[in-house]
Amino acid sequence: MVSPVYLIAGALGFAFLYPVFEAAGRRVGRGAATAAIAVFLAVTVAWILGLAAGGGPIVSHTAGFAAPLSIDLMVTLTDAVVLTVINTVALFGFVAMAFRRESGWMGKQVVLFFVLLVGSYGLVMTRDLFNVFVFMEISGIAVFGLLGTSRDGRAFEAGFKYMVASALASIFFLIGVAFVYRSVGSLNIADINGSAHLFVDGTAVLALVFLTTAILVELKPAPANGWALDIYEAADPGLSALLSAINATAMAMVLTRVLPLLDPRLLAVAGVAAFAVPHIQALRQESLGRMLGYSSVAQVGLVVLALSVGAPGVPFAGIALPAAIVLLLNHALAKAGLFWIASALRDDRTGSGEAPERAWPASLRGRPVALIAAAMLALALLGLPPFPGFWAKWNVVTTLGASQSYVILAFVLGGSLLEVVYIMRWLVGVSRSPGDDATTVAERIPADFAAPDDASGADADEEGEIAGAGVAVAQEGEIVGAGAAVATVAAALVLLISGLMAGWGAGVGVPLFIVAGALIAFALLDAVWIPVAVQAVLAVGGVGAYTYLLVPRLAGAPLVFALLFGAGGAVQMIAFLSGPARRPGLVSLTTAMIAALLGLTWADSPLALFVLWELMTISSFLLVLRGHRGAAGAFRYIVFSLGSAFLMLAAFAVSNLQLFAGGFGAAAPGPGEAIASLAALGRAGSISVLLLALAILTKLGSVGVHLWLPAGYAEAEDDVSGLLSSILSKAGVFLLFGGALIFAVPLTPRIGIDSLLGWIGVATAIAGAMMALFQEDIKYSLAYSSMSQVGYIVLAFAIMSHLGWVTGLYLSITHMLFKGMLFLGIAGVVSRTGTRLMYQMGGLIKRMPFSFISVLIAIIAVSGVPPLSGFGGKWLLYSALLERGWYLQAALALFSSGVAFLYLFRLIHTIFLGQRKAEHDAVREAPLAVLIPQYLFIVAIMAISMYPNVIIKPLQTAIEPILAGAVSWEGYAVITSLGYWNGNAVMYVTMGVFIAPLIWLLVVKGRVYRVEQFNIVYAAERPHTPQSTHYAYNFYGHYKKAFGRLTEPWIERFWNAVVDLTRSTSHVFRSWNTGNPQTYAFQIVLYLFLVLLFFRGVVL
Amino acid sequence: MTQGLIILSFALMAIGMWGLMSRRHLIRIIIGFSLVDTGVHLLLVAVGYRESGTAPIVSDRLPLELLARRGVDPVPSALVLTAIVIGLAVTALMLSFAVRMYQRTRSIYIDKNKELRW
Repeated sequence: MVSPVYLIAGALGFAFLYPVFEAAGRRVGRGAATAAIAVFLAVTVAWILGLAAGGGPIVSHTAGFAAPLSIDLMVTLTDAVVLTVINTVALFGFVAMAFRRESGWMGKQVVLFFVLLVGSYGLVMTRDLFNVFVFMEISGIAVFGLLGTSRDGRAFEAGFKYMVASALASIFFLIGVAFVYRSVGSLNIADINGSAHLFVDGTAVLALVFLTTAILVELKPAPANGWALDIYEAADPGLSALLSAINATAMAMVLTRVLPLLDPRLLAVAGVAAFAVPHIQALRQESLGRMLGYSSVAQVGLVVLALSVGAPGVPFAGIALPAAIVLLLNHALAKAGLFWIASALRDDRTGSGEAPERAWPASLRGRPVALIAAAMLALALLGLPPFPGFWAKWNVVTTLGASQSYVILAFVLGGSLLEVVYIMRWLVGVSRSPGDDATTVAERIPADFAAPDDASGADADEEGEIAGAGVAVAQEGEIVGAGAAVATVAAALVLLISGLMAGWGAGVGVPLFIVAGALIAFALLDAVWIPVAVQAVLAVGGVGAYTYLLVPRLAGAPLVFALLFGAGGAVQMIAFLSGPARRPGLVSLTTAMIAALLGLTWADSPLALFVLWELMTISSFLLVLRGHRGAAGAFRYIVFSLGSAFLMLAAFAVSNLQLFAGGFGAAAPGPGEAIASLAALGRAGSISVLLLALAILTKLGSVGVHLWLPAGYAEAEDDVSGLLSSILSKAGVFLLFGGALIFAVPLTPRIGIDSLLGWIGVATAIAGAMMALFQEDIKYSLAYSSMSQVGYIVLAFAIMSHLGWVTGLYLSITHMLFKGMLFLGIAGVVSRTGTRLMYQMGGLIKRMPFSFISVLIAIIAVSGVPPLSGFGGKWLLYSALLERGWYLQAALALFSSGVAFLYLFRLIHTIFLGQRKAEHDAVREAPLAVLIPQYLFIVAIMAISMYPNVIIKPLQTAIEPILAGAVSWEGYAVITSLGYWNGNAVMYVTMGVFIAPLIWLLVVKGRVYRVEQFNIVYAAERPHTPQSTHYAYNFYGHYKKAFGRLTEPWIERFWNAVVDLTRSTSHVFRSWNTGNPQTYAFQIVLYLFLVLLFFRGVVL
Repeated sequence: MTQGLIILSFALMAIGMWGLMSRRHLIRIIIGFSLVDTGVHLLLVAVGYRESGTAPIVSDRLPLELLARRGVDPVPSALVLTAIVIGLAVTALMLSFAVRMYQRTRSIYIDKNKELRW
């Protein structure tokens, strides 16, 4: 294998030779430089292959002496991997910088770039302490030089600060070197590590204090890193990419060299501070470069933290090097890629600014490659699956949990959530629909009626608002050169492939690959302009086939949910057959979401479960984001969802993975075993169950954490809302049933988690219903209705009895059916009328009779009046509640059902009945493709209603293994301790009861007095706006006077206060970085003293 | 003697740090840095110094056996040379950046050159 010294010599040699190549022409120079980096990359890849095949590390003793006389260069497998990452980023980075259209790198910039490479190679390979100093300075000087060539004049100021800070670090390092040499008598790092016993007191400890501080300062740790952010802000983003990816990676390797001398607790404390603080500071950044800089220093902090993480059971004993290396790799590629996008976009906005023109970056819609790359890199940076960072983070987090380092765990997950906030805000900004000002989180009522002759009145009105918002799409000219594009896409692909390979290695292969395969395959079909209709047919087939193959392998609750996800999803996707032929990403994301949901049902380990959970979250987030005004809703959705996911991760970590220990696969332990192992964990067990319950409740949109739900469901595209509301909402329900009896674990001797769940369920049911009652926008009304219905399901589950659980599953299925129908029915209406506001519709029964019938049947089913399936659900629910003795909850659930009846009545009345608007005289029936799924669901509802045994008996068998049955059957009648329900008989009786009045009504039809459109009298009341003259506007105004207080946005205000508090905290923290290099110097000295105190035994 | 050198070097570093952290004038800050740097160089030399030692050149007067006892440790001297060169390069760069900062803001004072912050 090539000797390590040639790598350094090669890079240095090329730096000298480059001017000769450039003299032959710029193309020759660029080509030669690219080829040189490619050769370096090939060398390091060859090293990986050679070292992986076996044999010891490659050592080069310079000048033919052995250590300590020589300066050793050594390459282990880890080093080879790190060098390959550095070379990969270097290759992409050079391509991005040298091949861009404007101010591409040439001359001294290329030379300095190669010097930077020399420094980084040296830092990774050298095993001599003083040599580390030399290479530190070499890369430092190269960076200063490159900063000096920057276009932004502020770069000099930033460079000066960097020089002051780095000079201090070098001085500390040299003092450390001097004292180490004095104590050990050698500068060879292996010798020094071998003399760890010498570092107990006196100058030796002082030496260590200075060395550690110097290395940490070079890693730019918060809170002593203000100078670093100035560079990230002022430097060319392409340079920032190299700085963040190459320099930080190499310096992190230096830290790993001296690990044996360091107390892991020091690294843990330093790592936590370096990870958490920048995330807080980053929240208010209005400059993309600076925001990414904060993220960079935080990620390096995470690496430091990961290095401190010990083996399971033994806090901080071992060293988790592989996880740290993977984190470095992930961060290097993702961050570099984001910086390249920033450099190509030339749009420095982050979405955090107060002033409108500072707020949102230009949208990348219509630039699919850049958009997909941006999304992939952002997701990778956040450590979401399937990217490599996820697998490392999972390891770190579960190890932290196993070693009971709960405080650190909380900081890691909390910091990650803050990172989600600001990275996702930017991602939402660049991927929102052009024209979306990303503020829509509630229904929007236009100021006035549109002119009567304007059929698409509402739309025109919206367009007007949007033009005023001044939102721009990134134009062709704003993308500079192809280099950045190539580099970015290559980085994203490397991340994706390595992440998928890691997933395969972690044993999550098949379900993960199915999701990724669906995503990629349909995205490729989009790329070659295959129409949505064709894709939808393929997708329905694919989902159907997956479900069909899955069903024989499953039993119990997973089987029920697999059918719900698979069949429900496939049927609703039929609606995609209508509508525009080109809707990029729609089928791809929908299929991926359904595949992830199906994967959940056969996940056989907590890891698999969590991966699929995250994939489901991500794909649904992107689906919401596709909506016309979905950005703000999608942002809330992803923040709450990932908050929920991190809670779940914490639950897994704290319980030592005992929750769902074997997942739901064949090896799954019975509920008894799960509870026993949780009980063995004691308090940690019940806390982890509580965390899991909170995670699930957040995902279900329970009251208090429901803020994401209304806009998330309502602002998605019309035919997607149904999928989200009817299927996606069941993922959390599935986990409830998966966890099963663990939720019966008492929190304290007097408070059970189940009774908490029950009350939250009731509160959600009422809050959702009350909110749904007062919406003018039909989709918001339905979204709140979903929230309310899921509250019933939680309530039913919390009863913790056989009957309760049968009810929960039964409600899940019927809710899927009728909410799917309602949303699709409404999608048809909205697509024909062009409005979502109920008071702008009316009298559509004659124009859209099939939609009317479907919506009518759906609302009968929802409201729980006989004879349809909803009645059965309500009857089972009240029976179960009374059996448990929850009388108050039963009464409140009944009240909520009454409210539900009101909003459903309003829905059918104001849309289909009453007078038709003149502009709707010509609307046609909804497209056939939208009607087909609705009528398939009607068949299912009718079947369930007539023959409840068809559905309830299998549900009983699903529950039986966990809770013994209390329900018996007699023919078609279900018998519980409180009575019986014969669906068949109820159906016949009710039909009779309805048919008699219907016939009578038909007889008296002739005597009807027809009300004209403006047949309204105002008694001493002056209408303020024209729409308030419409009876359907503020339909329940009188109830609002009575109950309006209940719908005051207290929770919205609470979360707004949280946001305000976070923003002001962020400002307090970032004010620490005053911009004055002398403050920074003082901070570094302070950092030294803190490290000194730590070594003196004063543990922070 | 060695002790004295070490004290001297730390005194130099302290003066330099004071200058670096308290002066507003960019050039003075850089001079402060140079002082600290020189202090470190002195420290390195002091670490290798041996009381009444001689140059570490193996000859008739200093046979190989005596080298370890009588010879001054040559490694720190080699290190100092490298450190001086690097220090020079950094100082030069700092000065050039100071010039560019002055050209941009027309002020040589550090508190007029802190546009980037937070």
